[in-house]
Amino acid sequence: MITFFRIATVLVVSLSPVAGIAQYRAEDEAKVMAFMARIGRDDAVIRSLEVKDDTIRVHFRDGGMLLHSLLSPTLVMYSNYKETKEASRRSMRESPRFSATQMEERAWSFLPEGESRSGWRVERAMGFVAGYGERCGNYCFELAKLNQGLPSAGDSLTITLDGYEGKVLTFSQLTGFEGGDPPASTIPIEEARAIAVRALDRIEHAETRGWIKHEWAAQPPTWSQRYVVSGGGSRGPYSDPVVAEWPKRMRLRWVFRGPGGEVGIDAETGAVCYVGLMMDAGADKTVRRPLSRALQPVSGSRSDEEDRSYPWLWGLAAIPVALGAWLVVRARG
Amino acid sequence: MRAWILLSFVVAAVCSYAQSTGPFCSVPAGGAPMPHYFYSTNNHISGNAMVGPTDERGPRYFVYACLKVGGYIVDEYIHILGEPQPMSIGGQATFDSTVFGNGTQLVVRFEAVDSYGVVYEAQDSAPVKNKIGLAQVDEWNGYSNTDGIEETRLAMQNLGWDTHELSTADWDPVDLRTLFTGSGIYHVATHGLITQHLTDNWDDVLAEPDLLFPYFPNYVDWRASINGNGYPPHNSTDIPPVTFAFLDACHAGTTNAFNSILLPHMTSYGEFVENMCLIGYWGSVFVAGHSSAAKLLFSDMREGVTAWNARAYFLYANWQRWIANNDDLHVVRIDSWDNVVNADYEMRLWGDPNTRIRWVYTGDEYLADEGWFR
Repeated sequence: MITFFRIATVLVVSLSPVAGIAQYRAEDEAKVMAFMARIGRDDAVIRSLEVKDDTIRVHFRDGGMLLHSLLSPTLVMYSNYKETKEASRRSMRESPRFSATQMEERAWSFLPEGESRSGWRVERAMGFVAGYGERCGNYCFELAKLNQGLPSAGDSLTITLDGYEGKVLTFSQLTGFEGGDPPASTIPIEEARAIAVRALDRIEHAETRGWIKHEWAAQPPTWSQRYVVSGGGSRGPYSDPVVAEWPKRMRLRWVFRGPGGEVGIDAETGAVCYVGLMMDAGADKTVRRPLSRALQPVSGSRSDEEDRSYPWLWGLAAIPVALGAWLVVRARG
Repeated sequence: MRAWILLSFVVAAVCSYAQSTGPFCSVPAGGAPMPHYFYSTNNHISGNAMVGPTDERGPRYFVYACLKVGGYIVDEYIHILGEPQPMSIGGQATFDSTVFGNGTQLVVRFEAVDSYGVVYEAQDSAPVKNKIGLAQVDEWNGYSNTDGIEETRLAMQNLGWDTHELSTADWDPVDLRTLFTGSGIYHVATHGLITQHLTDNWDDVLAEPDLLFPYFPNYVDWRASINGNGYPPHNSTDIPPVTFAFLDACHAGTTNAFNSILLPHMTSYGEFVENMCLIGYWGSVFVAGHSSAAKLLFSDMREGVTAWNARAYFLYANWQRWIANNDDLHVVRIDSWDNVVNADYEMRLWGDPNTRIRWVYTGDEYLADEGWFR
């Protein structure tokens, strides 16, 4: 109903100068322009503004678009395709005017109000690339808020900056996530890893399960720790039922990742939070074998290894060896 | 009255020259070659005419002209008294072919009437070719949070696109090449790496030829043979190129390698990569939830939203869904279960950000007044 009234308000405002209703739109516009000023784009001219599904959706005359959530936690996304394209074009003929260090400093300057640098970290930094494409002609940084000094899936900021003017090309920000307290105690990593490996047994597809277990045994999964919101009635794939019964709040997880998948274990209780399978086919030929057929015998069917063994190459390689041997024999003779 | 090329010869000498060379009527304008086919949303049509010679009644000029496609007027001229009297006149339009059914032999017609009531007519036709190619690893079929191509099929049905699907087990590169041929929309959900993706029988399809093993199937060779010589829609094979590709696989957008799907990157009308683009992921995508991307992208694009904006709406909606429920099984995640796909770089777009698969291409994010033509 609220959404309906908001949409109706925008429609009516465009037709009628009723002061009370216009006030509402003015608030939205003010919110939008305050954000634009923050990212140094206060010269942007609104072409259209609508409020739909608790989101202010704005198009600017210069090709920019802004999606601004009215909910909390608050999500704000801005992007400008024209300027992204222009930066890419410039990259084909010009070197950047700013260094990665300068641009990283600029990225840090966009931290939300009241936040300090020590409470965040650079999650990802992508340097300048020349050429055609949206990743060309710019720098991109992803900053994420820490919780208790550890990474967390919560407040974050991703920003793309033009390598020539320093302009904000894209900007995505999530704020308002509540942090979590540290667990009273945590299970040791060895125990968490053992639980994670056992959790692989929950994968229904027998061949996929067998393949992942085989790979994880051969190549132990990497691990990390992270605070993530859990509970509140929901749980991830193959998780323990108890996860859904927890009150919704940020909790610490052990995260184990290996070929084909990832397992999250609650650091306090050892509960399995999820077993996630990836579309990644792996990084080498053995890994790239089919998840569903990985354990099938190679003989009797055309295998990747057979495809690429190319025995005639050995014949080719033998030619210089034979030639060398012949020359040696001839020289001695 | 839109986009009229009004060639009014006001100088007497030019007028007399014009009258000495008419009458003339042509589709496309000036006798340019007719497209071999119409496809997607950026089709250019034109026609023009020149009045006949002056007779004892005096010089003639055009009082009416119109350009029609499929019987619909898409450009029109009506003479208003007091305005210049055109002895040569032309019309042009750009239109979305998906409003006509795939396979329709579409007639483009130019009609003009001069001041003595003489009618000038010309027409030509070409077939509409709009095909959607969908392929997916069989084990993901039938589940709401993994069956991505089903979402695409549902979103794009009844829109004039002819949908072809590979969703049974063991489809291989040969099957995929057949599917790929002529697909204007191409959505493949499979396992992938930076420079190759797999088929259901686990063979490789490379983005580009392998120097050591050039006979491996790859998109550069496929596009070269499918396109033949010349730029679409005047290429020798009469098979249209890809307008929008969603390579729904890990790492397909890590580099630009897969932009080979869009070769030859040009049409005979436009500038470099106009109205064509590819979307692919930057990292390892989780199987659970990945179908949501197709659902959100195509449900916006079917309404005429450009690729850039559709992606932005998807990223936003995906993030919102994750905020509401971190463990939602319909959230697209990349690299880690706790990392929602929410940034442009994670779902990269290569090509024209204003690519449109429904309603006429306008070169920006705004729809044309008339929706399907301008």
